[in-house]
Amino acid sequence: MIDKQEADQSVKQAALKTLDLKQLEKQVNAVLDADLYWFPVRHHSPIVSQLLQQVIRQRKPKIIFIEGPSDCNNLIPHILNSESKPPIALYSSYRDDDNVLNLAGINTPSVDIPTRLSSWYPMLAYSPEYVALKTAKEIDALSCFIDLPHHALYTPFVKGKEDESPSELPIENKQIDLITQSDFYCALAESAGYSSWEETWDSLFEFGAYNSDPEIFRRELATFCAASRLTTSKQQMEQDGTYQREAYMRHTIKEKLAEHQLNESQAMVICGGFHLFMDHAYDQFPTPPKGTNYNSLVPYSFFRVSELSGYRAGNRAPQFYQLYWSFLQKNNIQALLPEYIVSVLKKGRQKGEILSAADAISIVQHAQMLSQLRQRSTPILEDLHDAIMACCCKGDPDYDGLVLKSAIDEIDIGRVLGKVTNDVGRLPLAIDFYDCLQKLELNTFQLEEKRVKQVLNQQEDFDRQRSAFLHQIAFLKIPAATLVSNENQFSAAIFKETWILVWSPDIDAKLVEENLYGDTIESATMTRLQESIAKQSNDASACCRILYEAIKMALPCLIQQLQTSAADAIANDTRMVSLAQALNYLGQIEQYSSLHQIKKQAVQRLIVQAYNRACFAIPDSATTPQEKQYEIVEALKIIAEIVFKDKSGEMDIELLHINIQSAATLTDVPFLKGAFYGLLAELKVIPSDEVIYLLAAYAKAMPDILVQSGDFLEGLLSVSRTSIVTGSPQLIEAIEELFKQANHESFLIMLPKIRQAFEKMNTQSKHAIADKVAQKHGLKKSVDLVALNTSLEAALLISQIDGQVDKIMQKWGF
Amino acid sequence: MAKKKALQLREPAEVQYKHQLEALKQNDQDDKPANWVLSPRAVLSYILGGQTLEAKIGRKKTSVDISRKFFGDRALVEKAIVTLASERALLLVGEPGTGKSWLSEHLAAAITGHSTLTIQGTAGTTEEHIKYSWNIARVIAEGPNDQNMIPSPTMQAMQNGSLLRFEEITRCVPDVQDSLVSILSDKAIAIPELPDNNMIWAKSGFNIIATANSRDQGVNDLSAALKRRFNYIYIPIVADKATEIRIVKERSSELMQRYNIPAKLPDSVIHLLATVFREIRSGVTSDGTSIKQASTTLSTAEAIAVALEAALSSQYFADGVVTPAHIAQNLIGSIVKEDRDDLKVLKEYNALIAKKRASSDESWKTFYTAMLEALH
Repeated sequence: MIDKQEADQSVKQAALKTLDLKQLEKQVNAVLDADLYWFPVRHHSPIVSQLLQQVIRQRKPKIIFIEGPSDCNNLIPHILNSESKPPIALYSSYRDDDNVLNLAGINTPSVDIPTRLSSWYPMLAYSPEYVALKTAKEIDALSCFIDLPHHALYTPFVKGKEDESPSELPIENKQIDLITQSDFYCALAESAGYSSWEETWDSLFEFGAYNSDPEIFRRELATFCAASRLTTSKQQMEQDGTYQREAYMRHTIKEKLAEHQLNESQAMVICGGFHLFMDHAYDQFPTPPKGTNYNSLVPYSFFRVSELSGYRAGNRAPQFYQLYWSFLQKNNIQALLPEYIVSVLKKGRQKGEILSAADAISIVQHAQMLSQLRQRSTPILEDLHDAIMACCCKGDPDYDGLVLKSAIDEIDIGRVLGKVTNDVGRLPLAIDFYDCLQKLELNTFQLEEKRVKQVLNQQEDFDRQRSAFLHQIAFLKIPAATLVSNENQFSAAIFKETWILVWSPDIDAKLVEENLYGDTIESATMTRLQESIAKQSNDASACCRILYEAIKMALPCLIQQLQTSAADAIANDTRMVSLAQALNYLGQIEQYSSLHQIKKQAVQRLIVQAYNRACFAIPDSATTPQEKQYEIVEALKIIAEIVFKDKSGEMDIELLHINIQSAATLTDVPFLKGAFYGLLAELKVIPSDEVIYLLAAYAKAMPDILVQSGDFLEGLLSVSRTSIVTGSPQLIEAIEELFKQANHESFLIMLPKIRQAFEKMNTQSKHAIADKVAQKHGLKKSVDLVALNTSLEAALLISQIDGQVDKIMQKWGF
Repeated sequence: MAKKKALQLREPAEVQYKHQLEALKQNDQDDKPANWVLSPRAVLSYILGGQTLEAKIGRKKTSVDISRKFFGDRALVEKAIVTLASERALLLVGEPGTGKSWLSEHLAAAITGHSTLTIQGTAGTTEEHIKYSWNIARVIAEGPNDQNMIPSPTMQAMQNGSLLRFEEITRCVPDVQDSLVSILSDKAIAIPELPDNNMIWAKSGFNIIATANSRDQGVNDLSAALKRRFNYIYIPIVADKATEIRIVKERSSELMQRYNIPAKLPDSVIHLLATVFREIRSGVTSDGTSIKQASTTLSTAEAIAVALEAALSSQYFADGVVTPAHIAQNLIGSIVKEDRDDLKVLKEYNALIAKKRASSDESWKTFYTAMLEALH
């Protein structure tokens, strides 16, 4: 086993060459020897939490300052409430109602939509901030958050100075970015071969500092952070608001000490190590901009805190570190390695992998040897993952190792959900949600925490209200209701909907997030709809879909605005497929119009507009790439169906004829040619014989053209319903001629397309064609061939002949 | 002797890099597993390179640069070294031309000092090739005894506590592969013909590095029992362009030296070659245009072969400076192998991508024109 200190030392030495060590030591001593006791931490670090707990219990400070959003200080009692269980998160949201930041229309889809900012501050059982709060309570010390509210760093937008605006990264992430971009860190990582910040942290501190003296650890981490800060550009720190936040933290500490009449030696500061070395020359900090600000404490989950959920400052393996934390508290970290590996293998087996106890032994051996080779005193997560994959994945990890990787992810992340005391007041959106549930008598699933099936009949007023509400929450992606069937295709149940309502703790988390968009479900839905429409201003299909959804959500005040947006989008969209899809949605809206009291005329105007635009777009589709050709045919069918069903006489069918004819002449693509001509025949613009003549012409062409006949036929049968297929013996003639002219190789090329073409027909049409083929070759219909109609004597004779044949065959050895 | 050396086409890694191995040995302070010449960390340094060490070579004290032998992921090499020090054997698996055999040779050279105990797996490999065979004439005369037995490379590796290299293991039929099961689990070979000395036991340090081509998957898959005894390390195709360019540059210059080709291979030509390979391999050009992908692997080793052939062409049929035209002339054979449709891929690439670049870049212009001629 390598001596831990020796290994860590050799790595650190290499990076220190780039630094003025005397200056570094002086700076570290100045902070660590000050009256005010600073303890550097990293978010979600079990080892920091353990050592910090020891220090707090030993020093017994009167007040503990924690780097956390100061506008959430009122939530500390709720965090400490015995009913609250981590993972939990402080949630802050800000809405710039008066556009003081000048960002409306810049970071929102339109100037009417105000800027919304939000931030999450998650805490796990082993987060140093959480442990500090708990331990402070244990020793009767005060605790308070000292950081700037998250939205305070946003200054009014000035055109041309976009680069100076702070990024939307979580605050913890900013510090990690500063460290990992410092010259010191880069030299250190390169020299030690660390591939990520997580690997560096775990190697040097998380596992490297196990059993350390808290004071030695504090000095080592402080020195590491000082070295990183000394080799970080000041411009970067100015730009991301580090100096402003530090000035605010200093100001708050001073103010709170004065308020509680305490001196610096009675206090303790817990913050990111980078801030230990703050520059006292900066004393300016911003005041938060005016607007609507909400703060709350919400339940969180291991999955949401994990990096897989996209929260970059999260924790890559919350459950793994939870396991580490539990063994740290029992002073038994030797048990971590076997416990973790056995859990992963067990999960892998549940997923169907064949993994034995011998594999577990090999993994342990491999992980320990890897950690030695990588100069670590004990295996860290990288070593464990590498060892598992090396010993158990038999091939390409990105292909053969996917099941194993998902087993690792599940064990690393876990499914733990947090809880928050009921004393925390609900945000307005959550209040409205639960009120609506109660008012609409939909709260059974919530009260009994069970799955409830709800069938709604929209012809009844009350059910229509319920349906609208459920559509709204589904649109907001609040995980409470799922529409499982909309049985409107059956005339008997045209207005029925079936919903499944399920209770989940994620509902509250989502309600907190959506609170940014409005204080009621209806207003949040409207804001979201407006945002969606602003983003899709040139997409006819998307705008009409939104209109369709708004109608189902019973938002009459939005309908007119959405209709105008849909009209604009239809005018601007030149894509035939999108316009056809828009027609489809508008057709459905027209169907619903009486139910939802929508003015039918307005919808019809939109339909005619979309139809005209779609017709004009048809010739452009003549050169569509292969992968989009099926979409074109589907779109053509929608347009044709709309025009067939039209009873108003508003649609100019000539317009469709002219444009399809133009497209049919323009296109060189056999599949599209077949579809265009097929549709013209369906619309009776040309006689069906003409299309069949075109198909038959392939038989006389050169072999490279002949093989394209399958594509033509597929296009033709994709759109033809009746006139060609059922009424045309010439079609069969033409296909037979094609088969006769094609040699074996050409036939093999044509075959898949021809087969695909016939697959598109319904069974009846297929039988009709089969009958015609049979009749053409002098055979009777299949039913006639199957029926046995003979005399008893004849049947006896057949039986005797069969017997003789059987004897002969036996004689011949069959 | 000098003449014999001049005739030898290539030397094994332990001879070619003997000064580097010696320098690492002299500077190695870490513990070594039994029968290893270097410690695992020194083996890692040998494979990944980047150090300069002071060492006494012959009678002179000198600085020795440790060159990088393998350009893949560091973690991958670490896992391979650790596997060889463990109970399990190592199977390097990957697409053709990703450097499996190259890595296997260097690992064997660094760990045991020699890389020549090798079995080449083929459809004709038999159990005798893996275990032992007999000198039949002497067996007829004297009966079976120790002296009449011909040990296989496996047996030699076991007796010396050394590494056996088993190339293309999945080319062997499963029955033959399975003769490794007892060797890997019991660490012994039974010789029933010699009742008095019927077991050969492996010494500490014995292990196997096998290689397998992922394109052979499903042909002769390893049995479950054998799979369990191997740790698989998958070697991917080089992910980033800069590294691939570096590999092509270093390896082709080594090969040109070996073949005594004084031709010049400019960086711009290597850059062009790597670009063509990467774009046709991935089906996307650097500016995001989608193109057809070739059915062949188009490994880095294949690019090196094209560079070498281009250098030979320029040396013997031109002025000794490799141009994009030489690359174009030698590219077809590399890309169009089993599937004639790959010719269409190349034609499309030349007509769409190379032609467009030719309008603003002289190298691409030369490449485009030569390719047009070659494809004609």
